[in-house]
Amino acid sequence: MISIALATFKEALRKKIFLLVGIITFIYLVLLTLITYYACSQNTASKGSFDIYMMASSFISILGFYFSSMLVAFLTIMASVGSISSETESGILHSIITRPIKRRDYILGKYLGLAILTVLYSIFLYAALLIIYLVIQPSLVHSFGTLVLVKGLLFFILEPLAILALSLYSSSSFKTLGSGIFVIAIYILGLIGGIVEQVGSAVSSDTVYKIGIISSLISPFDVIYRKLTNTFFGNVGMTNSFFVPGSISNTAPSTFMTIYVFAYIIGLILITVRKFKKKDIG
Amino acid sequence: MVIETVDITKYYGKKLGCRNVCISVDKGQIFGLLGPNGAGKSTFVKMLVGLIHPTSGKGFLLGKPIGDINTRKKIGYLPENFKYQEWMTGADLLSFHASLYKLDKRLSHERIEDVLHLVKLSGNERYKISTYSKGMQQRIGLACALLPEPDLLFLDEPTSALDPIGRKEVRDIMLELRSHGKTVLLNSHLLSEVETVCDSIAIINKGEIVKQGNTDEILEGKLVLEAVVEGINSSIINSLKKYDSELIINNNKITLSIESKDNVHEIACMIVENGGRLYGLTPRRESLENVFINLVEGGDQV
Ligand SMILES: Nc1ncnc2c1ncn2[C@@H]1O[C@H](COP(=O)(O)OP(=O)(O)OP(=O)(O)O)[C@@H](O)[C@H]1O
Ligand SMILES: [Mg+2]
Repeated sequence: MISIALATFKEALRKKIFLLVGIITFIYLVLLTLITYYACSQNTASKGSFDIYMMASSFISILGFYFSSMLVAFLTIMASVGSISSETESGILHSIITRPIKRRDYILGKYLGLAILTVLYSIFLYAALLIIYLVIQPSLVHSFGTLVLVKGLLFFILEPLAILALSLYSSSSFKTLGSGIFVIAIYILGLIGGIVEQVGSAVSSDTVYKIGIISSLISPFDVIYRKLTNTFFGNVGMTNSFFVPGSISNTAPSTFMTIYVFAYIIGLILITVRKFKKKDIG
Repeated sequence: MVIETVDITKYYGKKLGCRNVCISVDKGQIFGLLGPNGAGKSTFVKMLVGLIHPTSGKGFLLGKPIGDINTRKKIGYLPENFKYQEWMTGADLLSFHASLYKLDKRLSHERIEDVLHLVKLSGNERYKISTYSKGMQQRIGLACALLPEPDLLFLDEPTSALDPIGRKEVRDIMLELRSHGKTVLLNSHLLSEVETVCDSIAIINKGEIVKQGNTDEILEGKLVLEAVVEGINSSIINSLKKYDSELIINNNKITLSIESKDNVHEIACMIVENGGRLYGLTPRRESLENVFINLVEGGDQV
């Protein structure tokens, strides 16, 4: 398992993925800084009402977290959708899986290696985001306690970990292209499901709300993100701006959903392992 | 028995891979599996090394059921479609496989040196696999399979990408392994290669074993006799037809198959007694190629 994890890790280093990701991240962070700075100076100019100022600046920082978690999700998907399928297709797997290593350990090793990568990246991005916000101070981020920040980080990390579980399931079941389409489709389903769920609850339509819930169960990634913003801004008083993409709303996910996400990750890994054990590779 | 299979069968959905294959291979043997394209050779090997699951039947390697993780520490396998991580260097690849084999650090350094030397790639290990030629990739694949000093080695067309010298080197590696009591299962189309190194052979066609036995038994079953005779007449032909009704006459050369070497003297007398002048008489073993083609084509007619 460790050998596979190490090889997966090394692969990302050698293939210069880090370089590419680094460039993308750098450009992203510069843009984010500029936008935040610009938006903030606008706000300070019209600093009439404290409420409006707070609303706007919270909105900006929510957007920052929103795009950052999307970036992490995107990179996680890119790094993992092909990780098993490409080795299956090329035949690299033939000589790996016939060595004294359990198929289970191959899957777990892949998960471990990719998880370390994405977690490290997420921590880095989260820290960068906080630094930007602490310097520019668009919102109340600086007033958050350490506990909230750590909790936020945990949710920030949880999302790529959940995506990774889905992605490896997909990668061990389909060809690379199909695998990518599958994961992205499910990810988008979650985004739409989140909005549907909020619309449903806003217009008090039970059916719409339920459809939203079901898609959130299939694709709980948006839920995790909403949990994250809820941790930060849930008590700030912005409770009904559901048209803001992925904003917090009066349908803050329950603790049950957090437990569900953990079950989702573990369940998917177990299913992947079982399926992969039975699979004919040849 | 190092390899033993009992009625092992594989269907890919409805498509037959191989059926009721029973094979046993003794320790210290080189066993050749022959068959035309699509006969089921690779299917058989893939079941043994645990890539695909048998539809029915059983198999044992080194006394343990197939799939046993611990016995795999002593098993090497070179796939027919050998392909390795291109971003790795040769040295990376070998240490990766050494770690998969759970060799300890010090031992693995030694082994990596050894196998590189064995497959004649010393010095190339610091380059990336993506820069290797096809033959070099096959060599590094063989090196990976040899890392744990395997007791049992599966080679699926190990010389398909190699030059003639490489083929000879692989043959020598196999013979060397045998001399250390190791067992090799070789899938190959190169009949001459199989004929020279294999102790026993199984011929597989359309998923079923059609012939199996010691190389000598399989080849010595029939002898071909070539006689150069002047003054061939009908009484010579008639008396020779008792040995082989399908004998071939080409100018003054008669080719017929005979049961054993004892027939050679009788035939010589017969030709001379019937007034023929005998200029040459050469018995030779039927080549594996003939046996193979007869079996496979004979199978096709059924
Ligand atoms: N993954 C697969 N799915 C379906 N059928 C397969 C699969 N792999 C092999 N087969 C079929 O099983 C049969 C045996 O194939 P196999 O690869 O074992 O042949 P082979 O003897 O190794 O041939 P070759 O000399 O070309 O390597 C063939 O008819 C082939 O079409
Ligand atoms: Mg084959």
